[in-house]
Amino acid sequence: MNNSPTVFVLDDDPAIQDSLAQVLRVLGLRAEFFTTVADFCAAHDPSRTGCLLLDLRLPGDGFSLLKKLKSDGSSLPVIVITGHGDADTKERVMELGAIAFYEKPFRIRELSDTIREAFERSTRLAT
Amino acid sequence: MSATTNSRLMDEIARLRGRIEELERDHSAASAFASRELLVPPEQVDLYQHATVGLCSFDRDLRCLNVNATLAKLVSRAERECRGLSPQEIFPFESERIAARARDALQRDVEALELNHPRARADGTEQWYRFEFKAIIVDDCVQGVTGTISDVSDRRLAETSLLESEEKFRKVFESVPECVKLLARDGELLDMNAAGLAMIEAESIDDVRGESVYSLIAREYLDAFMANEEAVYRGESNSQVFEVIGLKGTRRWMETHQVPLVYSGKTDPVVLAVTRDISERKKVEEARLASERWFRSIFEQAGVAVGVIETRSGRIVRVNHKYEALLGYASGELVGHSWRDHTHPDDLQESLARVRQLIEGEVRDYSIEKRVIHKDGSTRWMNVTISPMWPVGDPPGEHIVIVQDVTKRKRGDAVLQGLVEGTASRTGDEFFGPFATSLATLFAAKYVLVCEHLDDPVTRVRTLAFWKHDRLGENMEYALSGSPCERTAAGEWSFFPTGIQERFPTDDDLVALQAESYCGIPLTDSSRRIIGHIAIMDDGPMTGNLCDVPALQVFTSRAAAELERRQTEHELRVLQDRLAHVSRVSTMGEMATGLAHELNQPLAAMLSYAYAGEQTLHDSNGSVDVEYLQELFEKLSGQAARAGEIIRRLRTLVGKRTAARARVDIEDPVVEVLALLDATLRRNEVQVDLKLDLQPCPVNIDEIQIQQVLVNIIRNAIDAMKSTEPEKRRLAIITSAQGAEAVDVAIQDSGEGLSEDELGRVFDAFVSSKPEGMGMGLAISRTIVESHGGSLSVASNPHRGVTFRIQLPLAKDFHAR
Repeated sequence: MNNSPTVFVLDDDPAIQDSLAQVLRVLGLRAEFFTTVADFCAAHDPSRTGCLLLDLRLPGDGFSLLKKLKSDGSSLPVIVITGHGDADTKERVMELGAIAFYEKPFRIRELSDTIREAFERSTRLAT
Repeated sequence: MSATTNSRLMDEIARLRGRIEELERDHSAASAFASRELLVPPEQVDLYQHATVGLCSFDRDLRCLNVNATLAKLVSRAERECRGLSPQEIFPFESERIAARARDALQRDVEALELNHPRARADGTEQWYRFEFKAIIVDDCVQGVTGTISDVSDRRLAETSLLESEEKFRKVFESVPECVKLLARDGELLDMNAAGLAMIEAESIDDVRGESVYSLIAREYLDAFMANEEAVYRGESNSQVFEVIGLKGTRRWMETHQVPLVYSGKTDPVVLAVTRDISERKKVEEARLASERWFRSIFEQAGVAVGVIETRSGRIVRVNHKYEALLGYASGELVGHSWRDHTHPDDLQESLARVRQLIEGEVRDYSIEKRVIHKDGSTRWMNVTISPMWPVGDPPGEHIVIVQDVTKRKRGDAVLQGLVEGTASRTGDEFFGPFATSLATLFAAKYVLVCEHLDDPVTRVRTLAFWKHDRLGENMEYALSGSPCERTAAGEWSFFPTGIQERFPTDDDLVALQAESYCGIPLTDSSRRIIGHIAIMDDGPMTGNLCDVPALQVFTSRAAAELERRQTEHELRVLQDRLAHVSRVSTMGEMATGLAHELNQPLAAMLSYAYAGEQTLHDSNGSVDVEYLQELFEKLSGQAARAGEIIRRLRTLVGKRTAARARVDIEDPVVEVLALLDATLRRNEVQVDLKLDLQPCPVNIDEIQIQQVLVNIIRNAIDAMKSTEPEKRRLAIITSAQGAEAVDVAIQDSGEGLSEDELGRVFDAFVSSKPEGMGMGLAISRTIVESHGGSLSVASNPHRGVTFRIQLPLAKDFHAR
């Protein structure tokens, strides 16, 4: 069960964490939550499948994590969710390997579709 | 001329008249004898020879038949020698006139002839003889004439004296300025002199002689007058004061002295009255009485306490009620005591020294202020004015003392002193309240308004302090039109001690305040522009023009300076506020992205909750988990409120508004700013330590401006800590009361710190370490804090970073427990 795809949520805002928890629950997706980059890195197992919902502005900085995952050759798809929706940021995160960029507030249906795509990709890469 | 002298003259006249009558009687007797007897019968020869008068007889040819011894002696001849001689031959003086008279007597009755003998009498008086000739008729035939020669020197002398006396009397009678009159019964006027006639307005004595003077006496005195007249007829003398009404209607005051006058031989006395016109004296007397009444009424009813003191002894001779009341004594209790008894022992020596100077004539009038002891034992301050009642150069007698209670004024001096001390260290709005309070106390006025003018030319004013009855009331704005302040605001010192409502009938405020009196003082700035005014009003009349109080003038200058400063400060503050606003907007611009992100957080959460709820309902298959949905909705509305709060903060910080100070606790802006910067702090991994003082720290601040200061400092700290390892980024915010006067807010970071040079320039404008910064944030922050009467400083921490310290004064009415 440990290898079933999981949505890793990295956001320091408790309201975002909680509301996403409700959404992922009704979507029937497994989720794990982290508040800082350090927490996530400490707990993350590269063999696991799923996707990462990453907020950029958070303690430890979302960008640095993106860079680290890329340099580590991680196969975990990253969906960036941010309040700072400018074109430059989007370009930067896409260059760093993110598969999607969502500005808060985002449409849940689109996000859920993207998560399912990410799951497929993650599972495909893993096998 | 007195009535007594008059009376003596009249007696003399009467006596002389009696003597004349006596002499005339003698003469007639002798002459009758001579005419009856041509020849002297032998038994009567002796009588004939020694009669007191000279006797002679002549025949029809006027040859002397005989003469008696008296005549012979008179003509210095022997009796015999005379026989046969003619009258010319017998009489050695006036011979022809005597002979002619004798000859005439043969023909008809002739009058006696009185002739002056050339030789004077031994006593030097004239010698007069009376020659009386009568025909001797026997059997209807003229036989000769008899002559009677009598010495009438005494009678003539008496007659001359009488004439002289009468003339003298008449002269006196006519020339005395008093009315001299003689009255018979029933007031019949017998005689009256010119002065009297003038008094009763009669042209001449003929107009009034025989008339009754009663008709001239004013009715109210008539009964008494008549009674007095009657008394005089009974032999009494008396005096009376009455009024007469002259023939032309003039009323005069008269004083009369009257005596009974009895002529020799007359049984009914007359009244001799000497009357003088005392109208002038009466007028003077009336004036004196009026003056005395006036003095007495002043003495008794004067607003001030008055007393008469025996100067040497200090004995109180007389005091008015006010004097007694001032010292707490009942009527009459003070008279006979010394003023020293109620003079305060500490002031006695000086008072005595002054009285000594008065006695020595070194001073005349003087005033001193001294303390007196009230009957109740309390001490009162009095202004004592002393005026000697004796003329300059005379020995000291009594002096008048006027005493005024100046305790209130003395207290006023203390209030004035208090005003000086109470307002000396105060500036701005804190000045005007104590100022108005002191003025109200000083002048015991119900209302004191310190106003600043709102436009130019001025039509509206605003109070900076408004003393009302017994406390400072709410400040207000009012229009000047029709109010007494209109004149004051135009630059006039105005004083209406009473009747202010009548003077300004359209000013309803005066009616509402029940104002009766008004004193207005304009306030001008250093360039003589009128920028405000002071109005002092009372519901009773004002005594003494307040405008004349010199100290007040000094204080109005002070108030004017303060007002000018206030206005300058206000202008400066408006500029500062504008600058602060610009700076705030600029800061907000810098923070905009962060804040926008901040708003997106709750929005994103809301959408998620909504989706979760929606899906839950969709997937429910008829069995709804109501509790779960409720939980979702609560969370959703919580996030909506969070979004609203963020927008409110944004609007508060950026929205333009007028600066307004309010009393808040210092922790309010601190907590608010931490909430505002929460996301930023979290994102920058800054650990916040908030230590709030446990006791309330109220401050009178413009909260938005102080928030702005905190935002500037905290953002500065966050920036300074960017190079610090995340786990060492610590921001400590500590509030602590500094006694009862001030509160400190210390913002301590663990950033890279500042060099000595940077520390010195950190508050300078346009100095910034950040390439995108304007360098205005800290400069404006310091201005804001200083405009709150506080200070903003920075110092390096012992180990790492710096501490900014905001010090603000605690709200005045706050007392730390």
